[in-house]
Amino acid sequence: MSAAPQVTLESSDGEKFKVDKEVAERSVLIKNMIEDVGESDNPIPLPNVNASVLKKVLEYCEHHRGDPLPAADADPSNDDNRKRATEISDWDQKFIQVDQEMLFEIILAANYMDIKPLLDVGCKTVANMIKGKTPEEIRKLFNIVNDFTPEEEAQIKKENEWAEDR
Amino acid sequence: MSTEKTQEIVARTLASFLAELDDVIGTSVDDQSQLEARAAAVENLQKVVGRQLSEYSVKLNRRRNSLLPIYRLPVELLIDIFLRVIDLIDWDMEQNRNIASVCKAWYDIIIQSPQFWHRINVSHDIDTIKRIMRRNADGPFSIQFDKDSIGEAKHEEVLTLLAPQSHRWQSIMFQGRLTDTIFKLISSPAPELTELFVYQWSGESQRKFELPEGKLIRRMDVGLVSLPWSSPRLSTLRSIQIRNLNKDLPTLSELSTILSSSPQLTWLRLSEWTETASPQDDTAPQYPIRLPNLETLVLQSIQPRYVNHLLSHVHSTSCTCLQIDDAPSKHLQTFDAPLVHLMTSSISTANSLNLDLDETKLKLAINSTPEAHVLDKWIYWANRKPGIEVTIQLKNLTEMRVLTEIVAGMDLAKGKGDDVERSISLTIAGRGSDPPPETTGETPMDPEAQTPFPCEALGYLPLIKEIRCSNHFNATPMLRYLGRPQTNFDDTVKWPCPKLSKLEVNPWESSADTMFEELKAFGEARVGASRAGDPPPATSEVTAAESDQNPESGTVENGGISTTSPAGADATATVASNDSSSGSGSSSDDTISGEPAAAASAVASAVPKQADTEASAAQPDDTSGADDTSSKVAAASVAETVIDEVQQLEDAIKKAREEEERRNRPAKMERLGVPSEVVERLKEVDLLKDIVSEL
Repeated sequence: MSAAPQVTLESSDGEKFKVDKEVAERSVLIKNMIEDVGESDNPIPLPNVNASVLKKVLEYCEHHRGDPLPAADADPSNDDNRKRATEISDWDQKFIQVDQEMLFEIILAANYMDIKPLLDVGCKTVANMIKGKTPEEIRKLFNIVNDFTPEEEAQIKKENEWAEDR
Repeated sequence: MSTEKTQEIVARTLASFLAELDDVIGTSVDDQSQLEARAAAVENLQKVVGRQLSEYSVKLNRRRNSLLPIYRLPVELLIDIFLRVIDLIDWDMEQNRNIASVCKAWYDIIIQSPQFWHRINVSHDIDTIKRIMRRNADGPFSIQFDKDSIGEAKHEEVLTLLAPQSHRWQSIMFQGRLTDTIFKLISSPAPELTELFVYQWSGESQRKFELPEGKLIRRMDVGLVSLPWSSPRLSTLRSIQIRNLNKDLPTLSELSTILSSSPQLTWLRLSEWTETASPQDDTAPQYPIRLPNLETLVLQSIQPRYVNHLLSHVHSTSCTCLQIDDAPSKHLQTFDAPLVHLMTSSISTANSLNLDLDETKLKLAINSTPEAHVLDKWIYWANRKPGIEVTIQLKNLTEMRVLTEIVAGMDLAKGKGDDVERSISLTIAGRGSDPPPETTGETPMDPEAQTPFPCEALGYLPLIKEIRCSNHFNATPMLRYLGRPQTNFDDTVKWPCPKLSKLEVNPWESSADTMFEELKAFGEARVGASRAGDPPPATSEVTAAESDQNPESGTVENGGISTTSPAGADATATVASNDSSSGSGSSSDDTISGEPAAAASAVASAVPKQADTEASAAQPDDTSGADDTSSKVAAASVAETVIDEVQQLEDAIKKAREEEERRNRPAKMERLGVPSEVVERLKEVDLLKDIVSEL
């Protein structure tokens, strides 16, 4: 039996990763590149993704290699999809338990490499972190400082008055 | 910018400020008005510098924020994330406000993205509604009228504002009274409308909506409101609820068309259709309605022809909740066939079936084909009404979980009772009702009467090995029933549930005290009977491997009986064997023992094992048949097993007590002021004890 076809990916910092084509093609970007250029021994450059992030992304692709690909016409505004907006599988939850720096790098890489399920997991994770928190709690969570001018704060307070009176 | 540079700028600004201040103060002026002018100038300077510093601080903070990891995400991804944060039902937009109040960048995203401004609640003030519509930027929006207390005047005011924008309406949610004005406004042509939730309180007059051309409706919940049921917009629906109709019902044909064109439907509820006259020319189409995604089907107080048609034509492989409430039985009687086929043809995967049947003399059958995916945790739940006959035919059923009320009315013996013989475990949950003053005679309960416990039904379960009865108000009649043999017309004696090897009773608190007495009586009755060689087991259907079925051999049922007291009370476990030939002396007095809560888990875990052992080895002690010797040997073996296991339980209890004592010891020592060296020595002693014990 012949070995599964492989491709080589090159991270922004020059590290090369040899992976099964099937795994790499979880990324629509890579899939399209292979289709456009044809199979070649040359490594596929990924200038926006460094080695540590790419390693993590490939771990995800490897685990989900056999999963059905998401429908291209999935309507994100559909309520059924929205309903599942914050549900994450157990494996994915463990996978995404990383520091914030890495979390946002993974999201950016998934966005760049066009890996929709991974992008979903990342966005859901951040959404879950925000959900139910007060502005102050959100600031603390992401180390954000209040950067409103006094005038802007007054404006926000005024806009919110209708809700606070209820 | 380096810190030094920043400090330099600050220092320079401060120096400039101080120099100006020196200029002002340094000049010698005696005139009061001039001094006041200079004081004002200083104040002004202060303000200017303060503002400049504040702006500087804001800029620094924004610059700082922009370097954070989360700020690396592009705006479209942040919008995606924020949309996931926002609840679909958060009409007050609290999450919107929370996110917008975090920082300026997020505020700008929320304010400038129309996606966050598509919900208008009439309880908002008019300015807010106008602001939302402006930020919505001509996009679609949803309207909710959720506060009836606001009054019709406010509804009208808001609707007058919104009606000219009806081409932007995406969803309407209205509950209350549809006055002529409101109805007219709300009926404005809305081609973008995909969700329609319009519900009038009962007592109002029914309205009829028109649905001019436009997008397909995805979700619909209407009450006291009818629609043009044949509208092409009523297809590809995801959820349907139609309540309180007293006229203009959809015909069977229209309903079938709507449903069969909505394969994505997950939720269907039809309720309170009070019109009695059938629509003219309402012939039922015969094609199947395939709803592979249907999860919930509720049919409540609607005409039988609809129930009949839906239950016999809807095919669903994902229905997990089926509820048929208040079905008028006089109609149901005429079509019990569809109910028989309820499980056979279509909805074979439901794991929750809730039937609330009214009136009397209803025959209900739930039938599952052998191939159906019958789970062992199905719950058949029906509110008991006297006279309802329920036959359950489930070939794959190994465990039944039913409420008392349905068992009381269940006719398990009639019809194809063979099918329930597979049941070896019965869980009865439900409060039950107070028992009648006295139950006498060999037939313990009359199902037509106010039956507190499903005793008669138990008699039809010859293979039942385990009964668990939880949260029942009073299980006494069941214990009495199980503890009394019945004499047949030919004077043979028959015991109910002859295979019973485990009985678990979890009584209500109010009846817990009396339960021990009943258990004692139960145990004594079965043990006493076995001593006398009295109770023959059920006949041929009991296999020899599990019990001696010779009617004359006096097989003994074994009871691994456990009761659990109500929460908070000490758990009490009882292990009883009614085999007495080996001299184990296991009368109920001997075997019923109260143990502290710490031992309960050990006891509880041991009980099933014992029950199995006893069930498989059960033999009579006082037999007159040919198997006398072997029976005695087997009985002795059972007795030994029981003694061993009781010993094991006692050991487990003792160990549990010791461990608890050991756990509590440090706190106790500390309280008594025992020196720490002594405590340490005691720990060493404990350790040595453990080692010795292991050796």
